[in-house]
Amino acid sequence: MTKAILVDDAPSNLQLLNGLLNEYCPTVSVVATCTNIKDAEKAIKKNAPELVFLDVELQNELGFNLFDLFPSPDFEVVFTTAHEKYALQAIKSSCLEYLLKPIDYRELIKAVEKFEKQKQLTVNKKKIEVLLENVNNSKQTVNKIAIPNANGYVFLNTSEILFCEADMNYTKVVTSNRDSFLSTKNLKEFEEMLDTEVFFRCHKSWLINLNFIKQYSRIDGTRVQMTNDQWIDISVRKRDDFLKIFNRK
Amino acid sequence: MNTRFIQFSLLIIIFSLFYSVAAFSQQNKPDSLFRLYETQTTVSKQLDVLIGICNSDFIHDKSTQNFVQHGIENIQNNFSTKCDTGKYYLIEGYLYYYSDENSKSKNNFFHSLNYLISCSDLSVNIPQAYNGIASVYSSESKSDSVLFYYQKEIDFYLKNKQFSFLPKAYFNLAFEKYEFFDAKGAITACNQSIKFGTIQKEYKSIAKAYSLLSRISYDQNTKMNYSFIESAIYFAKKSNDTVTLSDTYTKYGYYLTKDKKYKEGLEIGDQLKELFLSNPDIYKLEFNYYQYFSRYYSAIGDITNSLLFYNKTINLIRKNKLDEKSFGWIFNNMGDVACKGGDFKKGIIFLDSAIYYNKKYNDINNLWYSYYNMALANQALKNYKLANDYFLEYLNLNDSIIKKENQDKLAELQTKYELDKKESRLKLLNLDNQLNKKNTEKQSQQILFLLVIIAVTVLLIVLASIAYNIKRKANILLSKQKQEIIEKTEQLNKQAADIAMYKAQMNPHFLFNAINSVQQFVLEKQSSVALEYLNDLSKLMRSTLNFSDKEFISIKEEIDYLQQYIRFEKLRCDNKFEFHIFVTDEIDIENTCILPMLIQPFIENAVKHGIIPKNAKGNIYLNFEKVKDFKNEFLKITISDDGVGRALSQATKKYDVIAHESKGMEITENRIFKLNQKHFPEPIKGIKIIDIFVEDKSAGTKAEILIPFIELF
Repeated sequence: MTKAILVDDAPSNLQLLNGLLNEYCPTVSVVATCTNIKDAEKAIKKNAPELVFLDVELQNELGFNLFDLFPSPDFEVVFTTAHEKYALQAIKSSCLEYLLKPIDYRELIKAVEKFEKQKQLTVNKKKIEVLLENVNNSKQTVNKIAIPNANGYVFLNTSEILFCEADMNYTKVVTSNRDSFLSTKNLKEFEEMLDTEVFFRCHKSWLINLNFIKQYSRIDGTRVQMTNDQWIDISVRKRDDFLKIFNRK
Repeated sequence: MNTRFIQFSLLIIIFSLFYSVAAFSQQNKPDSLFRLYETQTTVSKQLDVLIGICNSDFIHDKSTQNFVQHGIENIQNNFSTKCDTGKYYLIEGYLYYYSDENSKSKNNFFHSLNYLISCSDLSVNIPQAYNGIASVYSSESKSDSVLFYYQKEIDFYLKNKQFSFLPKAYFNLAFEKYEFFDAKGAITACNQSIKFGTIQKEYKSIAKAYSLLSRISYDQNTKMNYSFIESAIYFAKKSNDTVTLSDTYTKYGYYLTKDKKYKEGLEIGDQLKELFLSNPDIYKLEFNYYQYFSRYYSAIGDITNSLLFYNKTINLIRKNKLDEKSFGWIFNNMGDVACKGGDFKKGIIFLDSAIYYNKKYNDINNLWYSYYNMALANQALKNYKLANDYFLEYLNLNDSIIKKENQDKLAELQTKYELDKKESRLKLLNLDNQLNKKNTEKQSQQILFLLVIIAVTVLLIVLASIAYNIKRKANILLSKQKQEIIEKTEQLNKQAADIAMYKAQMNPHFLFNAINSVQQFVLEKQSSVALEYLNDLSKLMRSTLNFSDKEFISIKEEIDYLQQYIRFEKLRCDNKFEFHIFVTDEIDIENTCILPMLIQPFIENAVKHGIIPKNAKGNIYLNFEKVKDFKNEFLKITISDDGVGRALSQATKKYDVIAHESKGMEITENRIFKLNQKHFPEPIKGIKIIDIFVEDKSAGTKAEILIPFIELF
């Protein structure tokens, strides 16, 4: 049995999630339900749960604040959130689990199954660091991302990313120190995660960091050369947008 | 400014020369004057010295005149300016005047004026020329002209504030007025002379003026003559001018003699003698002395002595080689004296000489007296025929005098007329000069004016261009702002359209029907199904929200959205239809753009009006294909159903449903129209609704949408 704690400021939501878990996830036993971080802290310390379903938007506080009390938690977290774009972007970039409200029981089952399959607590601390950094930085931009790969996760500063290249449904991420990582996320997901002020989707297959452009050429089509000397095409339809951004800079 | 200064300094030089000439003349040494002439370095200054000499008393001396004549011949060819030429003619005028060539003298004076006026307004030589002309007229006894030119001289001094010359000039005027019987005018002029003389300390002129006043009062028997002549003597002494003093004494003595105060008269004669003896070189002193005694002795009846002094006078004149013009009246007086003394024979001899000289010098007045005296003398000698002849001569002369006076008058008028002509020509010349000067000024003014105009024009152009630039910038700014406003408006319009679109999407009927269906599942305790539908509904709403800020989505996103939607439509109508999607191979659904939620209203219509009224199960087909005409690429979207068709469907519809549908379609049509308008220059019919007939029976509805084929990358 997986010991779980539910945190949500609305009691009806707690009842619904409790009901759904009872109905569809019989391996999960809810040991406590809390409406604020303080109660959650007590419950966690008392019950030592393996899984915490944490609402992001609590009354007067954010669910993320729980990590101030548990910087290196020995429990896995699944966030529940309605439609909060920024928080969702931070969660996505840290590769933590989340469920959108209203919670779809089919996705709840998937999340629980995933947890029971992996139970990887070792990387949890790193993911939370990424999350907190992205949440707490003043510009509210994604500074760090967790990239899932075949072996687990790679944690990168976004400022290190030179460009991302689509490879079927995967994405190859190349950094400024010439490392490259293959991610299971597609290019569109990277585009959504990364800051549009810095990253530009110049092509169907390319997402480039504008800070690493060395030169621009119109010979053999419109192309840019990155600082690693690689030439990247700019699609015809994106050329005007690109020049607009470039002139602005 | 500059010329003014030069004129001023010239004046100073000239004045200083005059004063030096005056100083030399005071020393009674013509030789020093000649030396002064020789020490002058410039022609102009030499001429000034010569003019100075001409205005001194020495000029009566033949040798002085010769000197001046030589001096002027030496420098005759070196005149560089009009002023010099003017001065030259002035001197020539003087020389001719003293050699009694009146008409030549006059001509030269006029020439001189001509040059002097065009040379400088301020030249002191101009009034000198006037003075010379007046003198010539005076000797011709042309009263009006004399007075006119003396007056001109005075006016010149007054105008140019050369007051130092005024006492003498007023005296000259006074004297001429007196000569021409204008006692009142003479007194006024004398007073002026005394007034200016007092200011300028010109005692010589004061003395002469007082002397003249005394003469006038003597003539008018006002008994003021003695007090005036005493004043004259006082000022003459003060002036240190022996000639003037001598003249004044002569006059004083004349009064005394006439009043039979012979004793006092003799004392005056002694004064004259003393003056002569202390200055034996001065001709005039000697002349006055002899003349005075000749008259004095005549008055006291001492004929011998009188004649002796007359003789001395004649000898004096001959000795000094002066002109013998005065011999006429001297011999006349001698004859008169001799006749009075009873010596008619001697008298006739003198009178004969008098007639000779008077004829020679054309001294009509004295000739007249001579004839008259001659007639009386011959009568006394009983030479009646001669007496008769002389008397007739006397009468003829009287006539001719009257005649001549008339002729003179005529001639004077003529010369005056010519003079006026000359004057006006001079004035014209002057005006011409001024005009030229003004013209040059005007020209430079015109150039300046032109420059100012050019400068102003340039300035205006610059200002205009600046203004134009500012305006252009303002215009650019305005058009930019206008553009922004247009964009903003478009954005707002788009937002309004979007809101309308979502409102249309969030069709309350659809929502309520969906929720109603979920209620059904709950009631039937099919909780999983109920939850599934609720989650699908929330996803549909989430998609709607996500698309709200996007201009385009990919076909894939649109298809995903439609499939969620179809689930609800199927739920509503009990799976009464199948939904089929066809995409041609040339379309990359992830990379091809479509307006978000463009197709949903057409599906909704197909279900409502085609499928639901249909008794049997139906199909809805969605086709995406890429089509081209000769220049444009289109994405052609076809939504077709095999339902009952529009005609039948319309009849069964309720009013509010129609209202919503038409509104939803209107919004969609508008969105398509705007997109096509933006991409294609010529109007494109974006939506076509086609009724499908199979064997004349309604077999469904087909909607064709044409939008530009746009790829994301």
